[in-house]
Amino acid sequence: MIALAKRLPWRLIGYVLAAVLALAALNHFAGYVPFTPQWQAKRAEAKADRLEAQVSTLEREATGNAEIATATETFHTREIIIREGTAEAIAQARNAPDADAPLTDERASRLRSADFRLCSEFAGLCADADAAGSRPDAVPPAGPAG
Amino acid sequence: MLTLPEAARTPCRLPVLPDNPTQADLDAAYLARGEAVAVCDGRRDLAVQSFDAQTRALQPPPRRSIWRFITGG
Repeated sequence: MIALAKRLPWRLIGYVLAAVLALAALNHFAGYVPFTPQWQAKRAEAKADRLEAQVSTLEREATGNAEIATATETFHTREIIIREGTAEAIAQARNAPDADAPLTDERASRLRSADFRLCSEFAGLCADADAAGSRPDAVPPAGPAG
Repeated sequence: MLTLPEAARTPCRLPVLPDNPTQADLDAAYLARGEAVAVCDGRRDLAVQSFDAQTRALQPPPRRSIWRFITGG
């Protein structure tokens, strides 16, 4: 083993290692010298990284928009089902035998008072409860709801 | 840029009784309020899903792996 170590050309190995290190250092520092191939390669790599990041951002945005579109479609489908069911139920209520029976004044007043408290607590939740005919969310007084 | 759906921005509206309400008006208001709650919850869910999608989209991309760094790939 020792004989083998003695036979190796250590000086030559040293020169080769030194040359490799010198070349690596030269290659590294050439990256900072403008218009050298290393400098151009470094710039190209930085540009590729930037573009890669942009593509990644666009991909994630596209995925997010697709998810939102799916959720919106699901919501609208459910909304249509809910509204159709409610319209049907309201139409049945309008055709009930006691549909036209007025609520007692006391009951109507109690309900209106509760609505008033609710609507004044949360501004914009209800239409103006005092202005008859100007309430887009007021339940239509007669006829099947659409 | 992600877009928040218009439905998620729409405020909830509470149907109220008309003047001189009848039994049918009361029934209709009850049903319409149920509908309003269900639709409003759907809008809330839509807003939450949009927020989650936006949060995921804004997460930074994964960092370059050490192997790519070594190999320069």
